[in-house]
Order: sequence, then C-alpha cells, then structure tokens
Amino acid sequence: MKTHNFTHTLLLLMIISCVMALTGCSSKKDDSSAPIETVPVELNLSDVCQKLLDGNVFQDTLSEIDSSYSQMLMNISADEYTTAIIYTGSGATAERLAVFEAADSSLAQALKDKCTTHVTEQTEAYAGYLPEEVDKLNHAIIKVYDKYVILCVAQDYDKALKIISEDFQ
Amino acid sequence: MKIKDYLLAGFVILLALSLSASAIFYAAYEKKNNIQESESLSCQTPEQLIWELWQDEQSGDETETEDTTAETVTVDNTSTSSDDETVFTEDNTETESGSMPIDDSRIYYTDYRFTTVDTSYFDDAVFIGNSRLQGFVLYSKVPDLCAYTSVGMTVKSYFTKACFNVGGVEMTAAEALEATPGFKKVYIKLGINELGWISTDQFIEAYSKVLEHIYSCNPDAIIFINSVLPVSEAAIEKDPTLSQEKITEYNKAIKEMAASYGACYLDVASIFTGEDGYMPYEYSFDGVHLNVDSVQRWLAYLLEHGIEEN
Repeated sequence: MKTHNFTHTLLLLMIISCVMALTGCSSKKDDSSAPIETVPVELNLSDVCQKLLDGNVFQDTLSEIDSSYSQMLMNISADEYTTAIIYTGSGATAERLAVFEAADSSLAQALKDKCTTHVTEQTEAYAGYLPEEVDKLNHAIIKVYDKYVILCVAQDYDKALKIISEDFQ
Repeated sequence: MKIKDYLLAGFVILLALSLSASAIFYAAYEKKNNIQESESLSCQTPEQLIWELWQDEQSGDETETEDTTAETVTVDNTSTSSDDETVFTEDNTETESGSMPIDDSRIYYTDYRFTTVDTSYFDDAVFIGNSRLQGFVLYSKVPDLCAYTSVGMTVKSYFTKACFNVGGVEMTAAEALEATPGFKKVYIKLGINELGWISTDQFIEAYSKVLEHIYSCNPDAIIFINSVLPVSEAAIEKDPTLSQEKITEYNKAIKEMAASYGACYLDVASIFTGEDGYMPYEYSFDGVHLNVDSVQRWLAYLLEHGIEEN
C-alpha cells in the first residue's frame, strides 16, 4: 500500500513537472502569430476601401494614390507598414481614406498614433484654409483591429463608422 | 527496494527541476530578444539619410566658390525637335527685361526652347507649392516625386510654416529644400492663396525672395514657374476673393519676374482656360482643384516642356 501511494505521488510529480515545462516553453512573443486560443485576423484591404467608396459617405471624389506618398502626406514611412491603400480628395476637401496592414498589432498601435497626429495637423491646416472641413476632421474615424489600421475622414461619418465596424470589430 | 524508490524519486525531482529551469530561462531569453528586435525596427527613412548627409555637408570644410562668367543659354526658338543643340554664349549684358542686373554666379535661361522629356526628368527635381501642386504630385501617378507642398502655402509661408517632416525634424519648405542636396530643378506653383493681397507688387516682391532662396541653394537650378491656374465662374461666386482678373494680372507679373531671373515660365493656365477666360467646370471638382484627368493633362504639358540641362 505504501509503495502504491509512493508510486502515485511520483506519477503526480512527473505530471506537474511536465505541465510546468510546457507552460514555461510557450512563446511569450507579442507578435502577429496568434496565440493558441485566438483566430488570426485577415482582412482584404481593397474590399474594406471599396465598401466605403460605394457607401456614399464622401462628398469629394477620392482617387487612389501611390502608397509611396504616405510619408509626404501623413508622415508615415513605407517601412512602418507591409501594405497600404490610400485615397485622397481633390484638394477641395480634407476627406481621406487610408488602410494599413502592419507587421503586428503593436506596430499597428504605433500607426494609429501617427494617424491621430496627422488628423491633428490637418485640422490646424484646414482651420485657416477651408474651415468648413474641420467638422469632418473632428469626426475622423481611426480604428485598429489586430494588425490593421483604418483612417477615414468623410462627410457622412456616422454611416462610415457603421460600415467600418462590420470589419473592424 | 527502499533505496530504489528514493533513487527514482530523486531522479524525477531532478528532471522536473531541470525542465522547469530550462523553460524559465528560455522564456526570459525570448523576451530579451523581442525587446532588442522592436528597438531596431525604426529604420532610417530616405529623408533621415538626406538629413544626415546634409548635416555632414554642413559640418565639412566650406570651400569658396569661384566667380564664373555668367552664361546665358540661348537657342533658336523656331524648332521644337528633341535633337536640337543648345548654344551657350557668354554675355555680361543685362537681360532683355532689363530690370535685374545679371548675377555672375549662375546660369540664366532665356529664349529657351522646350524639349520633350520623360518622367525620369523629375528624378532630380523638387516640387514646391500649394494644394493645387499637391494634387498634381498625388494624381500624376508618377511615384517618388520629391515634393514640399501643402494646403494654403503662400510665398510667405514658404519661409515660415514648419509643416514638412524631414529626418524627424519639422521644417519650413525653405529649410526642407536646403536639406535636399543634389536637386537641379524646381517646379514651383504659388499664387492662388495670395489673390486677396492688396497689391501685385507685394506678391511679386515676396515671390522674388523665394526664387532668390532657391538660387542660394543651387545657383544653377532650373526653376520652372507654373502660372496660376484659372478658376471657374461658379467658384468665384462661392468665394469672392477669387478673381480671374487678378489671376491674369498675377500671371503677367510672374512671367516678367521669371524673365528677369532667368527662370522658365510655364503657361500651364493656357491649357485649362476656356473661351470665356474661366476654367471649364469639367476640369475640376470644385472649380479650383483639378481632377485626375486634368492632372494627367498637366503632366503631359510638363513632359513636353523640359529644358536641356547645362
């Protein structure tokens, strides 16, 4: 009986040590590879943009620009994202649509901060240039979803937010 | 048997401890690696490299520039063949406009003939201007143009408004140009935001300072001054500060200024002016800012109006 208990104790000890070893070896990286318990997020950025462009939320006619101008336009350099799609207005309005895919969610947060700074600077610029655009900038939508960031400055910002919330949960 | 049990227990405990210790050390090592990785992610941008190069240049020994005899580029302005030769003459007399003495330290472009170029012509060019030129840069579909353009830019804010991030430093357009080594051409477009100024002379005086600053950065730069584009009648009704008469007056003065400085005047306005003297509405979104199709026409105009470099 004593030997039997002892064996049980040994067995329990082995199981505990194995569990501890497995826990210790698990990755603590905060990167885009999903932890075991969540599903990786994948968005089609073109589809996200098209929904907004088709959603009749913009007053201006937005046109896609080369993403290399993200630095000039928004002070976001090309090495801060893996993919970017940017639409701007004709210059007659402050309207803008930009979606970014960062390497991971922490970099996405940094991109979000850049977008916030950009909106602040645009607000200051348009206050003296086209004051009627400031309301759109005050209601700029900046959302982060995992490694994705979206910036949307639109006339119908309520509708734009509704459309964006379908993908950016 | 007792000894065996003790040995087995000891072995198991030892195994458990070594496994746990390995796991903890491995996790700590990975965490340290992650911190180092994220610190190295902020790579230098091209603008940072340019800023560093400029700083190196500034801290290097300065050499005196030698005085050179003024060179005036004059060509036969009857033909527009791209194979035409450029004739250089040395001329110390005043230019035809007569209002500015020749600066011996740089090249003047007078009686120039345009030649057709491709987009590689812009590789050593800088674009400086207001929202209309920004629209050109963005909608031209030409990638990687070097541009210091902003909404609301004027001939004065060129020197005063720090809104360009170069190497992490907020700079004015003037400072940004100083921090851009190697440029040989400047395309400039200003004027629409200054239509409310009291006098044309004040505007031209301030514009002249911009040209002088550009030449101080590169005495041999080719400056292409784009004329002020027209506006539509509807835009004037919406914004009374817009005036087609004032635009015409400004462009006449800009053309004279360009001639006196040996800069090139590009009459881009001519391709966007209707028979009534206003911009046809279909060229723009709001009667002021060009749409994408119109920008492509503007690009075509610039590509047909290159100048053979010295």
